[in-house]
Amino acid sequence: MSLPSFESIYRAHAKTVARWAMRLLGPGQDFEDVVHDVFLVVRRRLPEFRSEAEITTWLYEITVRVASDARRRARWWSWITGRGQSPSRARHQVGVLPSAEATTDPQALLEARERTWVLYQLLDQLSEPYRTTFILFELEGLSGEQIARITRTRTSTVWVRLSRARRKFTECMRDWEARRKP
Amino acid sequence: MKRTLIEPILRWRDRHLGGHEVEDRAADLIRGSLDPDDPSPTALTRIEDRLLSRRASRSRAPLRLRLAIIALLLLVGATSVEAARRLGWLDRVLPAWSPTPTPPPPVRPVAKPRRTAHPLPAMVDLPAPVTEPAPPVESPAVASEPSPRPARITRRAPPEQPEAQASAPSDEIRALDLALRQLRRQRDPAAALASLDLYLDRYPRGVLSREARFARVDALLSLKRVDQALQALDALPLDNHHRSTELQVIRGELRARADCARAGQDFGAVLARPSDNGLVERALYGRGACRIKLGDTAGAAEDLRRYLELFPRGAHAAWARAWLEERGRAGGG
Repeated sequence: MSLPSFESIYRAHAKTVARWAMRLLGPGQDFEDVVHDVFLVVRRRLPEFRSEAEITTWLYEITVRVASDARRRARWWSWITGRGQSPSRARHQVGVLPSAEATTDPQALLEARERTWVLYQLLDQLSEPYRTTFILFELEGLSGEQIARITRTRTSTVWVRLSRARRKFTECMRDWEARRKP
Repeated sequence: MKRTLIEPILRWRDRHLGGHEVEDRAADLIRGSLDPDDPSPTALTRIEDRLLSRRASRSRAPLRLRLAIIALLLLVGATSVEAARRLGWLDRVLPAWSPTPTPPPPVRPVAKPRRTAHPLPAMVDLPAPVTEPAPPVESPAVASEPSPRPARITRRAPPEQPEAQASAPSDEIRALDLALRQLRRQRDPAAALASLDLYLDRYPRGVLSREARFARVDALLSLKRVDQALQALDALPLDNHHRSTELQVIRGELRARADCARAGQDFGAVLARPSDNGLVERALYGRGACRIKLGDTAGAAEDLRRYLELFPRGAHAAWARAWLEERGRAGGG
């Protein structure tokens, strides 16, 4: 079976990879660098790729790793400079785009954006493996087996990570609610 | 038997609306948040242009620069350590440094307590379905009155110190080991209970006291002293232990005899996290039966349908099918 060309893979999957990147990074984060880096890896590793049937899993695996690296670099950068993001990233600040239903009600859109920000603030307090597992299971709706293939672990490890992620998330949520009380 | 883990039953976003636990509030947060939308065509074109022109990502410094920075940091670090050593600072900062550390005293290994095959506590007293017939599965009869307690071991007067002494680990291990052998190998729960009570009197805050308290619950259940077992479980923190989920299911089953609302909370907590197949089965059935008793027939139907999906040949499958059929005939949907 002949391998798909790089251009055909980009045209077919760039949007999907961008959505995954946005999901993994969170609102207000620059996804373009991540998508670019994902396809750099795809181009470099395409000769090793064997099965077209599993291309989405392969792309997802690369996206998860690249997004995780990007988040690590952003944390390192903010620690060095004391600022939130590198100046080069600020140029492409994008928020999460609203769905069609939300645009009809600005108040609902505002509330949904606020909830999204809070959700990712809480997620950012989890360690990276737990955060990734939580996002893939709870937000993306992937199964345990799919997550195990993407993260190159065993299914039992996925469940352990999910259990710990949920526990930590609920602790962070309680703290956040306690701080919000007047 | 090889344990298999099944996929968690519920994603948080699939939890019932209107709950008040923190997991329910987390589910509301997830449900109310936005999904990422498609990127703009302009952004995709920008990315494609960068890929085609083979420009490197702006975020990454050249490899040589990164290697140079790492080498510089290592050099600075090594120089600092050498300077500190020459000035004698290291000795002042690390006075306990010893090239030959004293090895810790050997600790005798403890026989790992195996999971007990103690008899199940009383299952939920199943209510009749909407119309007759009565459910086919009957709850096993359990003594409602506690069995007479075994004779207490007479002890000498306690030592003069009012507080528990810091116990030597080997003594604790021996004491607990004896109790667990009586419970698990010799199948003598009465003797085990006496030994465990003695252990907890001597080492109320011992390093193994939590294991002892869990084993005490097993002993009480084996003796059919379910009220005391429930009291003991209510007093125990059931988190961060490999038996937490199992004990929470047991507590739910014991609570279900008189307090289905609290029992339902226990079952719900178990179902909200990854659990062993057997425990999921018990929790699903238990919550379904509790919901029937509380009048939430819709919720019960959902649980029992899920039960049949996952455990079509489970211990309560026949009863669940019968109940659902009766409900359907009675117009419950």
